[in-house]
Amino acid sequence: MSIKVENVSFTYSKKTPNSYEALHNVSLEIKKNSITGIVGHTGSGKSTLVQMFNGLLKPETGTITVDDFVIDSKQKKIKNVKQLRKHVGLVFQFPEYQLFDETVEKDVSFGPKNFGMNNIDALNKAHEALAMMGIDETYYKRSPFELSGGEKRKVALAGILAIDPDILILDEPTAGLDPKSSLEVLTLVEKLHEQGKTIVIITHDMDLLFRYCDHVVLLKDGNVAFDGKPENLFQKNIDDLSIDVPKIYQFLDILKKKGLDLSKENIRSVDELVKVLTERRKK
Amino acid sequence: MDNLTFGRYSPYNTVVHKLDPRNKIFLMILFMVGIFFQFKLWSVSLIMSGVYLIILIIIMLLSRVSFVQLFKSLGSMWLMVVFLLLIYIFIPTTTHKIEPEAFKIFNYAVYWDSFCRAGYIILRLVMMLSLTMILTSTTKPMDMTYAFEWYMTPLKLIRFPAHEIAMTLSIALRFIPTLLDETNRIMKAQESRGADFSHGIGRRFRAIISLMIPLFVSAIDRSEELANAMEVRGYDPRAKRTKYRLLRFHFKDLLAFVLIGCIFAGIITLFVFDQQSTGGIDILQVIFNVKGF
Repeated sequence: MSIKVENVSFTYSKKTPNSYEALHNVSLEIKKNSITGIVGHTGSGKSTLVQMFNGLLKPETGTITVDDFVIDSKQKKIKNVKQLRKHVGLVFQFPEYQLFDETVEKDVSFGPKNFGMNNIDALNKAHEALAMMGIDETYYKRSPFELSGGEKRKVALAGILAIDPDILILDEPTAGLDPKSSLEVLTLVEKLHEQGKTIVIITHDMDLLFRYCDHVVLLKDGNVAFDGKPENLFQKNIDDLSIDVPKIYQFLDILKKKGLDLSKENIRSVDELVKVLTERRKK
Repeated sequence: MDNLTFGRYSPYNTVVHKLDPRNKIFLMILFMVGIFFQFKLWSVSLIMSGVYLIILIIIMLLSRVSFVQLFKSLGSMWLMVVFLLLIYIFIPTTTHKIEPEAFKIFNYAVYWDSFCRAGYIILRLVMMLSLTMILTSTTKPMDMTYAFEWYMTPLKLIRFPAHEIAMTLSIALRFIPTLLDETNRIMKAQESRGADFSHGIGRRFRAIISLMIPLFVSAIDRSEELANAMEVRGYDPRAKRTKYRLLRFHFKDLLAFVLIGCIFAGIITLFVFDQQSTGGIDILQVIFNVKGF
């Protein structure tokens, strides 16, 4: 068990004419060491849900259990918020907008310092995180504001990685990135997953979802509309859920209709398809 | 974040919401001027304040402005209250309208009068605050800028850039909620990185810096983008343009105008009499035959 959400509801600006129910009685479970994708339209409650995982928002009803931490709607204040935030790293959408310090390394060490590390340890942690993101030493003393978009994003991501959270939540990590940078970010996410971290990704990109995630939660108007494996999501009649079917899935579907059934091979990307096909040819 | 939402437009559909914004602004200024007339006698000033308060409460109930919000914003005024009190206590005055000493600190006499004066100023400020709150929470920001532009039209004759100023104002108003959302977002992002906005001066200072800098950066980026977008669409401040929303003066505007106008006229008359008579006019004496103070 990593994250368990039970009967959680949340309403914004309650008791005002602008009141808006973002989540309605949501229950779900995110397993340890999984990559979970959370999908849904704008305003379906994805971001709200995710902000509860690290205690930025408190559920109005229900309980959220994140490993040892319990966030209950009946509590006045969430206990151990700081430890919870160290445990669950949340990367917001367009994280490059949260850069603020003079140099890249100082900015990245902001997180570890806030969680009680001394300057030297924090800088070491920052260098480690930056190296992981593929940002080399020549950048350490530069201002984060003079970097390119992709580099900024990587530095901002490093800012969260430096905290070394066990659960990493990414809100649309590839939005607005060029293909090369977005592949780099995703490869890193995969690597972190292999290191044993639990990953939650909010995304609109179904190809990404199909390729990387082993668990999908689909939210619709604050309700869980689907909870299960990605391939099962696309098998369902999803016209009414208005989701694009991943291109590779469509292609496999066409192959199947033409008489080549590859559904047992668990193909998730073009590279994997090529591999399977060449192997079959050799046979 | 709650106190930042003070006076935000709330989309109800009351009579006050439907009034012409130009009318509302004018009447608000009238009312404010009325509030700041000071009479010679304390009792008269107090009675008048009571009258203003009752009128204000009626308007607030009519326009469904939340009292809770007003009281919340008052909570942040305590520093000013203390400051005012200190000023009135330590500025030596020879004329005390209310004579008795309250207590002595090291032989320095503190008079009740100081408390009364400070209290009176606070009361008037609170009334001003609730007035502006009524205006801003019942008028769409856009309507407000149209009204400002309308008031500035005569100045166009002397080449005063009325339209440009109205445009600047409307853009500024338009981006307040956007920037608030942005603030909220960046705050949450930095909190996720362990920034602490509520404990310890040093930590708070660092946290606030981590909020302010990204906020400025994004505001400047945004303004540049907006300027470019306007230029691309061929925006020319001097071009003649028509309006999508026309402001109209309805019958209820006339009613409100006459009502508040009468009250204001009454206040002025009272004030003039008050200034001309030697001891000040004494309402208590006139109505109840009790001597006022």
